[in-house]
Parts: sequence; structure tokens; C-alpha cells
Amino acid sequence: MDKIEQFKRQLEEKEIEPKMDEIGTVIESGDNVVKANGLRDVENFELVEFEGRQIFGLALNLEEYETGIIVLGKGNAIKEGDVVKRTKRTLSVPVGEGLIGRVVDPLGRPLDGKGKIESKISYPVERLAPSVIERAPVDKPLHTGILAIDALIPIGRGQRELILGDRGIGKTAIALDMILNQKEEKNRPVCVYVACGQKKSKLKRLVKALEEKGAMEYTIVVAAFADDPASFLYLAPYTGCAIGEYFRDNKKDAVIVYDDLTKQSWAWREISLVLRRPPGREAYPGDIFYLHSRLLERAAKLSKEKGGGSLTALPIVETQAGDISGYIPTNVISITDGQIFLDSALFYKGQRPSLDIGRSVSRVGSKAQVSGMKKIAGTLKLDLAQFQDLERFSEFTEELDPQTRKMLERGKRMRELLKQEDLAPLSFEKEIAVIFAGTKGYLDDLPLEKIRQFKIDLIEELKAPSLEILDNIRDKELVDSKTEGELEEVIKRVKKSYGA
Amino acid sequence: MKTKTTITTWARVLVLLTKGQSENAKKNIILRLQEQLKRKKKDYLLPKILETAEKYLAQAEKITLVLARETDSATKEMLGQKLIASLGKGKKIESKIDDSIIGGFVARTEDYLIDASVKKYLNQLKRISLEEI
Repeated sequence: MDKIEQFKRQLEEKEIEPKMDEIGTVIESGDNVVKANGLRDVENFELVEFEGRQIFGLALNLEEYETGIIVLGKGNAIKEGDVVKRTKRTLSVPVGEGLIGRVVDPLGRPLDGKGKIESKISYPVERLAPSVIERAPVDKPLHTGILAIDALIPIGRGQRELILGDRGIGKTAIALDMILNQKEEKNRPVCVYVACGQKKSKLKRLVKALEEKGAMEYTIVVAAFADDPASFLYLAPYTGCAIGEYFRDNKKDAVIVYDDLTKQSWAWREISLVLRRPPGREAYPGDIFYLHSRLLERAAKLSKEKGGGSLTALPIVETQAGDISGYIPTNVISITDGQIFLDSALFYKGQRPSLDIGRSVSRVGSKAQVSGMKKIAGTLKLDLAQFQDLERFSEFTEELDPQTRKMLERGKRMRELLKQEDLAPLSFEKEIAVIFAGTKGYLDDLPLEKIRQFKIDLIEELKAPSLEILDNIRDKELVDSKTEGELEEVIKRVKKSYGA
Repeated sequence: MKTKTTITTWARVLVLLTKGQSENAKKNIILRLQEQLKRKKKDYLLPKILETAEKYLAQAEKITLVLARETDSATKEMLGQKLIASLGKGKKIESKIDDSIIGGFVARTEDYLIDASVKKYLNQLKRISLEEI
């Protein structure tokens, strides 16, 4: 009975009176792209409906006599002569708190079998990025929990940091660690993970990992799979962005991972070629740069007047054989505020994350670091770059002065210290404590092979309830002289257990 | 371009170009089209293009009215007048019977559709109930 009453109420809210629809006729259909004539006043990016099929399309090519439409669904059901009608709406997706913990498709429909999405607000998928006046400088850190990144290439809330590298060398793992690390963060941002063109099995594993670690409590997944139509792959990042923007515009912080934009580019190339748009370099259409720039410009830190919310973007791009100068990588590098480059040679040497320090950069820099980290890791990047040069040089000579030898030994230990397993992010206070041990030279007399175990033991020791070192660093965001003394004592105590 | 698409595109262009033109001007447009096609060695397509254009013209000038069952002429007349008033003067009404629409009517011109059928109404109810409950 309740359900009937509820249905009656819902019917009252809906308009089901017959109305005059503006229509067109399908004249060509194939590869999930339809050409229709008629539809005289249709607008660009307007949603159109294929009558009687319950399939929607998106008007993209407005020509003199025809309209090119991408089908948002299985296009093989659409036949020549079918009626297509205007909806006079642009494509919108549900946004809001109700999406947290859910897995949705690029049209905002649930994929996780957890029922209807509770949301009364919709945002258009394509929106203008905030203007210059509406923005504020990036100055608040987004801790990834990855030692090497937080110390060397800090990311700020509202920044756009590209993650690029060959396939299978840990790009997604970095994004996943970053999401997991937000669990205990102050002012925890909402995380949006956009899976673009991924295998269903991979996404299943990823969602399972997020659920097991309790990260789905603050995460939204937007998924377009490898077997979905190209239109879904093209739209997924924009949908994710609209979902993230809701939090940004409502004074909150959000972070979005686009995994990956290479597949979105492929999808857009496929659509453009079928729509007969002129192909350019590598057969990509002329607006391939705009495809990514208009997406990534929407990530921003808003000014106080606008609420001070932020949307951080971590796009992922795949390189071929480590070629950083490919078309799509260079495009996205030029749009973002820095890049994290993963090197396959380092990966196969066993360095995880396989970060290439020389070719990775954050253009926001130390402004996005807490003062404690800034002080301790300030010269670390330069020291490591010098160490890498020296290491290469030392391969050709055996006669090294004691100062150079010392630098080499410390560099090797720092490199070992920065190694980190997947799915094991560290909170920033632990990161500061670990780097403190390395940069202050406490590890210089420890054997290289014991560094990783030392790191684990030091963290365990610091977790002791009687110690307040980690709490102090977390609260003050720096290592004051009292904490420094206590930390030194703990480091020495752990070292003693190694006989050093 | 595929032959079928070429025919439909040219037919469409022809309809738009000849709309409101004098007989002489229409003749000239068709002659110029013939020359173009000849140059492209596709003049064999002209009869098919003209046939399709005629079909489009006929379609543009009519209102297709679909009813579920035969209706008395007074109702048809009243419905026809209202449709002509809203969908365009000077158009002819061509009625058809299709019992799959269950009841009500569907009126269609080249650019507009009024679906007031019971079938559509039931489909909408189904959609709402699946969405909301």
C-alpha cells in the first residue's frame, strides 16, 4: 500500500502529458556513431533520445544537413529510419554525498548492485573551469603516503600532477596508495577514482582493496570498461570531474584520479574518425589538446570568497617504451603542474616506487609541504640528483676521495630508505621521522641491506604508547627541539639492536 | 561516401535548395546537379536522387496520423484540424491504423512528433516505476 502511495506521489511530480517533440531520422548508424537528419535546432552536446529504444545519444557534429551523434549505449540496436528526438537538456549526472562509497558508470548509473543513488542534485558533465579571480594559490599539502613523493615531489590540494610511465610499473598503485593514505588525514578529501578503459577484473581487485582498507567510506569510483562503447570512455573523466566539482564547490576538498587519459584519447580519436573529423598527428583530431586541457583546468583551489574548496587532479598517462616525448604525454605534461615519471628500468631493478627523480617535478614545490617536511627534506632532491651523477661517475673510477665516498654511501642508504611496498602508505609524521633518520646521517654506519628492516622497526618503536613523538609532529607539523632530542634517542636505541 | 548516403544527402540538399523556387529555377538547379554528377561520373545516380527527393518532399508536406483503430470521420476531422493548426498549414493528413499503439494517436511530420498513444503512456509509467521504487 505504501508503495502505491509513494508511486502516486512520484507520478504527481512527473510530466507525462503528450508534447510536441522536435525529431530527426537516423540515416546512418555504425561503430556507435549515428548520423541523423532533421533535428534542426539541436544544440552542441545536447542529449537526444532514440524513440522506442530507451537509448540516449549526444549531439556532437552539427553540420548543415546532418547531425553526428555518439550513442550512449549499445549502438547496434539503432537502425536506419529510427526516430531520434531532442531532449533540450545537456548531459548531466547525479552528484553529492549519496555517491560516496558507490561505483557508477559514466552516466551516473550504479554498477555495484547497491540500489538507487540517493541524490537530488545533478551537474552537467561539461562545465567551465573556475576563472582566475575565483582561484587561490595552492598551499595546502595532499599527503600521498609515499615517502619519495611527499619528500621530493610534494603535491598540493588543487594541484594537477601527472603520473606517467610504461604499462604495469605501478602508476595505479601510486594512486591507490594516495587514496588509502587519506583515511587518517586531517580534513580528509573525498576521493574519486575514474577507471577509463580498464579490465573489469582489475577494477574488481581495486575496489576490493579499497573496501578491505575501509577507503570506500570516502571514495567514489566511476568506471568505463574496456568493452564499453568509446563514448563511455570519452565521457568517464568528465563525469568524475563533475562529481568531484560538487565537493570543491561546497567548501570541501576532493581528489580525482584519471586512470588513464591515454585510453580516453584513443576513444576520442575513434569517435572523431568515425565522425569524419580531419585527422592530424597520429590520427588524433585537432582538438585532442583541448580534450585534456578543459578537463584538467577544472581542478583548482578556490578562493576564500568561493568557499576555499579544492579539486586535485592526478591524471595517469601511459608511455610507450619510456618515451616521455610522445604526443599525449607531452600534451598533458604541458597542462599539468608537474609530473611523476616512473622508469621501467628502475622498476625491474627492484626500486618501488620506480620514481625517476631527475625527470619528476612538482611546479608547486615546497609551498605544498608542511614546515617539518620542508625543513628535513629541503635539500634531499638535490642531494639525490648529485648522488645519481656521482654513482654513474664512480663506475669508471675506483679512486674516490673520502667526502665523495661518504656522499655515495649516504645516497645509497637514502635510496633504500625511500623504497616502499604497495598498499602500505605512511602518514606524514612517520615519513618525517624516517627521513630525519636518513638526512641527519644516522644510517651511515648501518649495513645497506638492513635499512629497510630498520625503517620498519623504527616506525614500530615510535608507535609505542609511552612516546608522543608522532603526536607532536602531527600536531605541530614540525620537529621542534624537544621532539628532535627524543627522536634521536629512539633512533639510537633501534640502531643498537642492529649492533651499530 | 557510400552510394546510399550520397543519394540521401543529395536528395536532402535538392529539397532544401528547391524549396519556394519557381519551376524554371528548379529546372536549373537539377541541370547543375546533373553536370556535377557527370563530372564525378556518377550521373547514373540522378534518377534515384530525384525519386528520393520527391519522397522527402511528399513527407515534408504531409502529417502522418497513426490511430489504434478506425475512428468516425467527425473525430478524425476535428483531430486533423487541430494537428494542421499546430504542425503546419497546407499539409495533408495521411492516416494509418496500427493497433500496437493500443489507444490515443501518434502524429508525425518531418521535424515534429506528437506521441499521445496509450503505449507511450504505459511505457512512461513503467520507466518511472522502475526508476523510483
